[in-house]
Amino acid sequence: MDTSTSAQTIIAAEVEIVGTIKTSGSIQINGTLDGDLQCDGDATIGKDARIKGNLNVNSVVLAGSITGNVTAKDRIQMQSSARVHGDIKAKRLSVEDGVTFIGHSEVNPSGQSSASSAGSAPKQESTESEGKSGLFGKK
Amino acid sequence: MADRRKKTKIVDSYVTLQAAQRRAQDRPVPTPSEADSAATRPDTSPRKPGTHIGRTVMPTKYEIVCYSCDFMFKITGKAKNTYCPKCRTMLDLADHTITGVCTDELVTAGRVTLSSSAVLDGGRITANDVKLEGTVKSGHLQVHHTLELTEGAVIPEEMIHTRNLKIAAGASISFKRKAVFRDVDVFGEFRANLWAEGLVTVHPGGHLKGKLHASHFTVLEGGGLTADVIVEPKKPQPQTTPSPADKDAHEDKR
Repeated sequence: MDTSTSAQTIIAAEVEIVGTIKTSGSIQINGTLDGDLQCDGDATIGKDARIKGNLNVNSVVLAGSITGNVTAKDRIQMQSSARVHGDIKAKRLSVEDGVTFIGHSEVNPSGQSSASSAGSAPKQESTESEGKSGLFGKK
Repeated sequence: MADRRKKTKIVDSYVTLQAAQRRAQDRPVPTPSEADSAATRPDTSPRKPGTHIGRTVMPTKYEIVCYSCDFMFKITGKAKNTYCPKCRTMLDLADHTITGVCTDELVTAGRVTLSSSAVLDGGRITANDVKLEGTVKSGHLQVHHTLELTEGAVIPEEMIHTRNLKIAAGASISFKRKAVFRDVDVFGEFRANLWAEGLVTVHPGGHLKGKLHASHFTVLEGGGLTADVIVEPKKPQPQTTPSPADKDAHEDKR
């Protein structure tokens, strides 16, 4: 397998690691990790992977099961088979339908702080509407 | 799928037009001498047997909810009216745009747009889809399919009766109460304690804040999510096959 273009380190499905993994490159985990993962590069958590610990990565593709917090500098991509029990924090997020996710999420791609105030009624200021869309269009 | 393709022998106008355009783009215009020589030259290119184009332009399907019996069905293409397949009520599918103060009753299975200058004040609107740009003060707004809240929308929470909700781009909507819908599409900013029975989709540029409880959830690249999330797809119920004893009991009853 050519790993030069994908993950530099691969933890195979039958491997179980207890402890913290630290890597400056990219990593793919298909096995079991009982501990934290600190990765400066990109991480791929395979479909059959099981992780009990926190992930601190640049970006991550999640397809397996994780019990712990996931923090990504750039991007978290949750595939449909992903099961995440923990908090996530990233700049960008994409979630496919079918994921199980229980936790708190902090993802704000625009990087703006919220300016809205909670009121009993939906409210808004400007009157300019967006483009016409919908089933039949306007008459 | 492959079998279906083989069986299809349809070449429609859309595909013909596409092919003609492609041919026009690909081939440079031949000079007269080239054209003459091409005319005399026999066509030696092998003709692919059974090359058929199985693509047709299908008219769009629309989900309609009967305002009489709440039965949901689909119709293909545009129509002025249709009959509910369940209760046989004739449904008006006309679209309406309200620009002023609405105090009357309006019932349609089409789309109603309350423009930015519109005010629903004591009126009664029943529609399949409603796009709200204006204000709802009082009255009744019953949306059977999708309510779209845009930037200028003002509506008391307790007056929202809809199956699906769409937060348009640029809108910033806050719900204080628990919000229960089927499908929710977030293009703008939406702050709520949201319980969705269907699919929640945060589109690029959209941002969902607050709490989310759903079984199906999607965030497209560029969407934001600052929330306490519980997303658990419902597990399919195992099909229980009746035991022989049960079968016998059932037959005895007959």
